[in-house]
Amino acid sequence: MSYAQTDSLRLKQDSIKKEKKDSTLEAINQLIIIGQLKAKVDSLVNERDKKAKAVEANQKKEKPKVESVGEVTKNVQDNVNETLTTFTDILSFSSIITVFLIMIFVYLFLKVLDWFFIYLVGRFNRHRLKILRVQPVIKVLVWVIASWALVNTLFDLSAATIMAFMTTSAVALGFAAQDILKNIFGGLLILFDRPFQIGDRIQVKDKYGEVKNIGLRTTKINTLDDSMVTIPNSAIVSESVSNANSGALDCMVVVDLWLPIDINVEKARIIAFESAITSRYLNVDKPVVILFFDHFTHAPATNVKIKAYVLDARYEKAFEGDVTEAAKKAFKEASLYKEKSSLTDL
Amino acid sequence: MSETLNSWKEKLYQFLKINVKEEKSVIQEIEEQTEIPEEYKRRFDLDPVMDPSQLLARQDIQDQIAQAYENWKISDNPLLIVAEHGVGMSSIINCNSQIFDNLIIIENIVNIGRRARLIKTLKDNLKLDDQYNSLSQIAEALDEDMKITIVFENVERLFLRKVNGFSVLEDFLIFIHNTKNKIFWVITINDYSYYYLNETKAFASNFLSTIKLQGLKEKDIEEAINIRNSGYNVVYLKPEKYKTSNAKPLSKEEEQIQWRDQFYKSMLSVSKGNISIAFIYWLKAVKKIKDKNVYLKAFEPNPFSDMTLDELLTLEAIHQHSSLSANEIQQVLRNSKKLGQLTIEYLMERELVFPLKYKDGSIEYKLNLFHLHTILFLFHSRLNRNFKK
Repeated sequence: MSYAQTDSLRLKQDSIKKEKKDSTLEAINQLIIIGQLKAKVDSLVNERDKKAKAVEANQKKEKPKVESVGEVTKNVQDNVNETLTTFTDILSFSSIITVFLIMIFVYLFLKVLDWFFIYLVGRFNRHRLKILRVQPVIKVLVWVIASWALVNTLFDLSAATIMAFMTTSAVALGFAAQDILKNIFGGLLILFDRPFQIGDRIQVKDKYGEVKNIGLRTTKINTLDDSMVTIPNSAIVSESVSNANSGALDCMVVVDLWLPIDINVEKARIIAFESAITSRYLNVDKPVVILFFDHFTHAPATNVKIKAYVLDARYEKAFEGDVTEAAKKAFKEASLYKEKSSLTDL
Repeated sequence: MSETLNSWKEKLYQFLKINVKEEKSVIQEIEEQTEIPEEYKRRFDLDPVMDPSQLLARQDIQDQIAQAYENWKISDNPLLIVAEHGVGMSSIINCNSQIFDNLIIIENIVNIGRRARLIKTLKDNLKLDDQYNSLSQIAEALDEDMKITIVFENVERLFLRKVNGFSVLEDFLIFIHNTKNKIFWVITINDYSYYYLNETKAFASNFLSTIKLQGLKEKDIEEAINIRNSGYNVVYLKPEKYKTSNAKPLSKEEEQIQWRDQFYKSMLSVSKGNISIAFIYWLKAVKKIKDKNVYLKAFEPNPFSDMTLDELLTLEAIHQHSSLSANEIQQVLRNSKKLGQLTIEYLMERELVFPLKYKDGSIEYKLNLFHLHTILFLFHSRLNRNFKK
C-alpha cells in the first residue's frame, strides 16, 4: 500500500473516529437530556400528586364525615362518662372527708402549738428566744406534711406523675407565680440561714421593731409604736438587715444627751454613769461606757453617749427614757445646763 | 385519781383562760391558824445566837476569820464577809468575839444614807467628841497606838440606788483604807447587794480578804432543829402531795419515816441551807402542839408566778438595800409616790414584804425571809439576773 493510500486510510479512520466520537457525545448528550426530562417529568408528577392530596384533604376538612345521630349521642355519652369517672376517682366522698379532717386537724394542731409555745415562753422567760426560734420551723414542717397528705389523698402520685407535672408546670409557675416563689424561698432562707429569729429587734429599710412571726411568705415585725408591719421575705432577703440583739435577751442601748460645750466633764461623766447604773432596767452584768463628743453643726454642744445594756430587749425604750430622765434631772440639779452658752455670749 | 383529774382540770381552765378563785371566809382562815405556845416559838427565834455552844458546823468559817485577823496584824487588810440574810452571819461574829481585841459591833438598823448620820454613828461607837464633823477628822483623831476591831454590819445600808447615792459608801470605803492600820475592819454585806455593787462599782476590789458564807448542810439543819425540839415528841402528818410507790400498806413506823423524809426534803428545798428559813418553815408546818407532841405537816409554798414587772422591781430594790422606806423606794425606782405605796400595800397583802417600825416612828419595808429563794428565782427567770450564790 502506498503512502497516499495509507494516508487516505488514516484520514478515513480519523474521520470515522471523529464521527463515532461525535455520535457518542451526541448520544451521551441525548441521554443526559432524556434523564433531565425524565426528572422533570417525575417532579411534575409528584407535584401533581401532592396537589391532588391537598385538595383531597381540604375537601375532607370542609366536608367532615357525616355521622349519624346515634353515633354522635353515643360518643358524647362516652366522653361524659369518662370525665365523670376521672372526677369521681379524684374526688370521691371518702377523699373529701379525708381532706376535710386533715384541714381541721392541722388547724387545731397549730392552735394548740401556739398555746403551748405561749405557755413555755411564760414559764421559761430566760429561754423564750430559743423556744420561739423553733416555732416557725415546726409550723413549716406541719404545713409541708399536711400538703403532702392532701395531695396524696387526692391524686395517685408516682415518680413519673410527679416528674411529668413538674416538667409541664415549671414554665407556667416560673412566670405566673415567681413573686410567690421568691417569697417562699426567701422564707426558707431566713429559717435555715437565720439572719434573725423571732424575738430579735431588727431594722429593715426604715422599719425597726421586734420580729413576731417568720412565715413562709412574709415576716411580721412589731414596731415601737405597736404597729404590725408585714414585709415580704424576698424584700428582706435582698436588703441588709441590722439585728440589735441576735438571739440574746439583752441588747445595747445608746442614750444620747446634749449639754453645753463648756461643761464640767468630770461631773457630767459621773452623773451619766450613775444615771445608767441606777436604772432598774440595767443589765448589771455588762459594762457601761460613757463617751463625749463635741458638735458644731447647728450650735456648739457636747454630745454625751451612754452605752449600756438593757436586761431585756423588750424594755429597750423604757430603759432609754429612764436613763435620759434621771440624767437630765441630775444635770439640772448640778447646774450643768445653762440658759445661754458662754460662746454665744461672745 | 382525783388529784390527776384536778390537775388536768386546772390545765384546761388555764388553756381556756378561765379564772376560778375560791374565796375563803375570814372565819375559815382564822380556824386554820394554829396556836403555838410562846415557849415553843422562842426556841425557833431568829435572833443571832450568843452562845458558842449553839453555833453548829461553822468551825471552818471561824478559822478563816481568825486567820484574816492574824493577816491584818501584818498587812492591814480589812475583811469582807458576804452572806445571805438569815444564814447566821451575826451569830458567827457574836460567837467569835473572843478572837478580837477591843471589839465594836455597829449594826446599821436605820438606813445611814446621809453622811451626817454615818459620822454620828462612828463618833458614838468610837466615843469621840462632837467637834469632829468629817470622816477625815475622825480618822486623824484616832489614837496612833489604837488597835481595835470594828464589825460594820450590812454596809449596803450606806448607799441608795440613785444618782449621787453612792457618795457616802465611797467616802466610808476611803475612811476604811485611811484607818485600816489602826482598825481591823470586818464589813458584812448582803450577797445580792454585793452582786450589784461589784458589777457596777467594783466593790470587791476594796477588799483583799473576802469570805463568802454558804448555807448549812442538811444534817446540820436537822441537828439544830433536834436541839430545839428537846423535850418534845415530833409527829409527822401525811403531806399534802404524798406519793408512794409501795403497793402494800405501811406500818405506822414506816409511815412516819416516809413522811419525815418527805417533810425534810420539802423543808430543805425551800430553805436551801438557810437556817432561818428552815426555822420559819418548821413553825409554819406546825399544825398542833398537845401534851408535848408537835404535829407537823409538809407543805409547798406559793410559787408567785403571776407577779408584775413593777412588783418584781420593787422587791429587788428592797432586797438590794435590805430594807427601804416608801420615800426611798420612790427615789430608787423613780416612780410616783402613790404608785410606790400601792405596790407596797399589794406586796404586804401577799406577805412578800413586812413593815419594820423604828423608835423614831419611821417605817421601812423588808423582804419576807421565808419567800427569799422564790423571789430570787423570779429575779433570775423574769428579770434575767445572773446572780449566783
